[in-house]
Amino acid sequence: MEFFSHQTKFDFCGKFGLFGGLSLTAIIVSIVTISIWSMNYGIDFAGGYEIQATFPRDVQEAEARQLLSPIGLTDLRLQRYGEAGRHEYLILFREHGSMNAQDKVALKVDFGKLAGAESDLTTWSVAESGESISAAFNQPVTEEQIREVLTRHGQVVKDINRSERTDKPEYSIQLESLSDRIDTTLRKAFSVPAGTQMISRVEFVGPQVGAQLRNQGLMAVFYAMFFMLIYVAVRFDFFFAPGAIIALLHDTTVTIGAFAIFRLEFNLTVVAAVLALVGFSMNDTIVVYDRIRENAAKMRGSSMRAIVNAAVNQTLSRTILTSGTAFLSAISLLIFGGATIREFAIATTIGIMVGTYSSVFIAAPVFILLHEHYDRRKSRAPNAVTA
Amino acid sequence: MERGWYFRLTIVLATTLGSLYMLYPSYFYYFKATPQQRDSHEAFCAALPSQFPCIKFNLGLDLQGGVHLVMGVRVDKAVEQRADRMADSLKEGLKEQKLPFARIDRPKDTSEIDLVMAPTTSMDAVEKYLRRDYRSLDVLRRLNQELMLDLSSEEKKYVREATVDQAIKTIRNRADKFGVSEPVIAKRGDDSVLIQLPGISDPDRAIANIGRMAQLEFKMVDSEATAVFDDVPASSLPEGVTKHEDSFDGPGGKNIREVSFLLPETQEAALTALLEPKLPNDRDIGFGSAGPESPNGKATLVRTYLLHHRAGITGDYLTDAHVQQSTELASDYYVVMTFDPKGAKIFEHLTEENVRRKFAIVLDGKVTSAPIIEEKIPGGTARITLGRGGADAQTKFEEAKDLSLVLKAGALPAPVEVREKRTVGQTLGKDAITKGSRALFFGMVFVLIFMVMYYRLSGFLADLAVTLNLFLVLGVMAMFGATLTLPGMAGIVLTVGMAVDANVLIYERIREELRVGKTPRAAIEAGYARAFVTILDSHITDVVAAIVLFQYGSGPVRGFAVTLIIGISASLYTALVVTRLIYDYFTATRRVQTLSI
Repeated sequence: MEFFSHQTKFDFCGKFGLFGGLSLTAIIVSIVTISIWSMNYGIDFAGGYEIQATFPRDVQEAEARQLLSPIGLTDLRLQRYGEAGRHEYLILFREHGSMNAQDKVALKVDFGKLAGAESDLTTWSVAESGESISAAFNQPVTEEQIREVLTRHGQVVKDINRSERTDKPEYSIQLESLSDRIDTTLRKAFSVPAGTQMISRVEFVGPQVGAQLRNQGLMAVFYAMFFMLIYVAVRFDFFFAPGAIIALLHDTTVTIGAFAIFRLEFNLTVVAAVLALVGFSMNDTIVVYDRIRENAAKMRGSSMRAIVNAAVNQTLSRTILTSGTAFLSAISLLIFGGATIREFAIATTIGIMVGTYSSVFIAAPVFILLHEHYDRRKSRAPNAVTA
Repeated sequence: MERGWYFRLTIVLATTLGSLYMLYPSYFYYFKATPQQRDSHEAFCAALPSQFPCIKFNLGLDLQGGVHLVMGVRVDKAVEQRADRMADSLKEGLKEQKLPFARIDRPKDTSEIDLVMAPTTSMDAVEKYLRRDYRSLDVLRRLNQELMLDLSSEEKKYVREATVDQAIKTIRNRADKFGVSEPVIAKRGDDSVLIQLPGISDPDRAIANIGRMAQLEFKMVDSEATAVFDDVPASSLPEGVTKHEDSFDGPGGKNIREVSFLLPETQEAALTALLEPKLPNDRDIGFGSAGPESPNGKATLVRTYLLHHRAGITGDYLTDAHVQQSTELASDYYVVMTFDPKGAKIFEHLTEENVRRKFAIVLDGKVTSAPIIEEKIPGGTARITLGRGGADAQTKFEEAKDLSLVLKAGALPAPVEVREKRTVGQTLGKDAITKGSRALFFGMVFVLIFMVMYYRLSGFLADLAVTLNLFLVLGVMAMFGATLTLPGMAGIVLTVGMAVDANVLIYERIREELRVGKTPRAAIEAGYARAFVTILDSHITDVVAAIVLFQYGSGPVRGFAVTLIIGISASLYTALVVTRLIYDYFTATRRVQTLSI
């Protein structure tokens, strides 16, 4: 079987204006969308709580809020998850843990009152998760008083430790976790028996870690591109590198842009897919470049345009085939891989398509443009040293 | 056939068999082993047929369920505590040097020490003393009789690093108690610790146990006073509790009778409630292990100790603890612990007053050991001899090592807090395995069928190569004990799609060469030769991206990078060597005139 029984003779370079314009539009749309709407960051980057739970029946967001309002949790989002008919949901609290900023302030005020004035609270810190507190007082404060305040705030105390190190009362308090509070409350509301598992996954990411992961992700994509640039510059020459990098920038921008436009969740696995895409797209580009280099030696006397066009045509069937097999893999991930790696599979699928497109329609033409630009300058400056 | 061909054949057979050999232990572990055999590394090694190496690839938390935690260590608190201690010791030191001061303050949320000397004190003498004995303190400013001091930046850096290192040791120590077979505890960034506990489902219990502000204390045991327990009637004891009597030579050679109770851990609260009213003032009931585990291995028995409420000395003064072998009897080991100068004085005083009394090492409120003080111990270095009679040298060594660990890394040096917490239930993990395998299966089938359709017999060769590639990836992962995650499985699926790339490049080249009229043999020769450079170039970019990803990623994402790196490297080998071997066989022996490509 062959897709192209004869050597194709498409004029890829001639249509650069059309595809260049198309790509430029896609990039601009992506950048504008990302900067206006931002990304729909997943928990890895946004921080907060994400709880995967299976309920015995369908539940609406409003109902979930109402059920959880007695324990002070109203700013949640409920999202259907996984296959239909399994009543599986994600309960999301973005950007905060068991307590939000106001809760923390209100609690501090009440702890201050315990000691007399807020200034008598010599140590005060609430963990990012909102699930542990350490507090020290200048005045005698008992464990009972602390429990009373916390209960008033809808919290369940799990453990209180009084430090013996200093003469001032210093407490470290462990509160029941958000997931446990939700589990207890919703279990009662839906009368789920004790033996059945209702919550199957709990993830909490503090804002510090979230920001760290975001920066690291950005740096990783940057480094990957940087190393590619070096590799191409060393392995080929100066004219090849910009085309390869522009193609990579195009691929990553458009893929990430697609996530922004369709409001798909942008998480760690998507960054992984983008990095793999950088490798994959580069791989395609290099196959074309290798052919250009080979042809340049063989087709002495031909114009650079003809050389590049021949190279793209000669490798076309390979490019389509490999992208095709990789695409088959990605599609099977998308169909069979389940909800956990859905975003990853989407990013890979988009990435493979975009990466293939860019090697043919961007990397090669940019190379020609650079080359022709350099040639013109050379002919205008007769004294230039010829290579 | 030429000799080179046989050589290549040997290599291909060796790698194929080798990868199967490396894979068998993993197959055994995940498909054949009983839960007991999977319980620990030792049990698994013992159960595995002896001709196989005791290695396997691991499943990530997302596949087997478990807890992933990142705990932040509050190093700022540790620095403040160091400053507290420094201020205390400065107080003593200035008194000793007869340099009177008005007050020493420790401003909140800083590591500064505000020193106000008496109006008559010579400030030059104070500064001279500080320079000599307190090099780790910097003078920030001097105003009349007031000195503002701060820990030097090297000291702060040292405290921060030491704090995180010690926190890791402590956490490792505590995590071992969860009975997890392969916990991961590693430093992450400057001030965080990564903890992975496979198979655990309650992260909050783990956090509570790991993060508790634990303290190492040394408390005297009041054996003499245990006589008050004599009149506790056996009938009133909670279920499973038995009274026990011991005697040893106490202070002044006087025989001391010690009454204690043996009980299952679950009865601690009940027994405490019963005994509490009888306790003298300032005495507590402490519990500690009563020796080897009970025969059924489930319920560990503990025994009671009557402890002084006030700690004789705390772990804060301890600077080091290590194991030493006895010079007299090689099978005897003891633990040497060293206190700082101030601790040495307290310890000397404490031991002088309590010769022939028991001295309990209390960690996290639990008595880990209670040796008898043989004599007054000056100089701040003490030896704890471990002698549970009859134990073999190995057991004694382990005990000594455990105790030294407890002493050294006993207490968390600073509070820790949760920065990241992820729990995956075991059912969800199983579900992920099913879905990942299904995606892998169909992904492979799609690609294999496509290759045969497009390249006919040559496609089948490529399929063989890709299948071998799969075994190689898993075999190498097993060899290095790498971790397979769900994205890792996705990585394998993608590698299958990408691995055929090398074959496609070669085949397309062969077709081109055939088209210009070359013989099959020449076309194959040219195809492999020409495609080689391209394949190398393009695979290197894939691997570079994967390595960057490996550096960046953590957990599941890292698993993806691992399978990608191994898969792409392996595909280079399978495409260039394995398929070539088969081609060469046919073109050399059968003198084929047409290629099925």
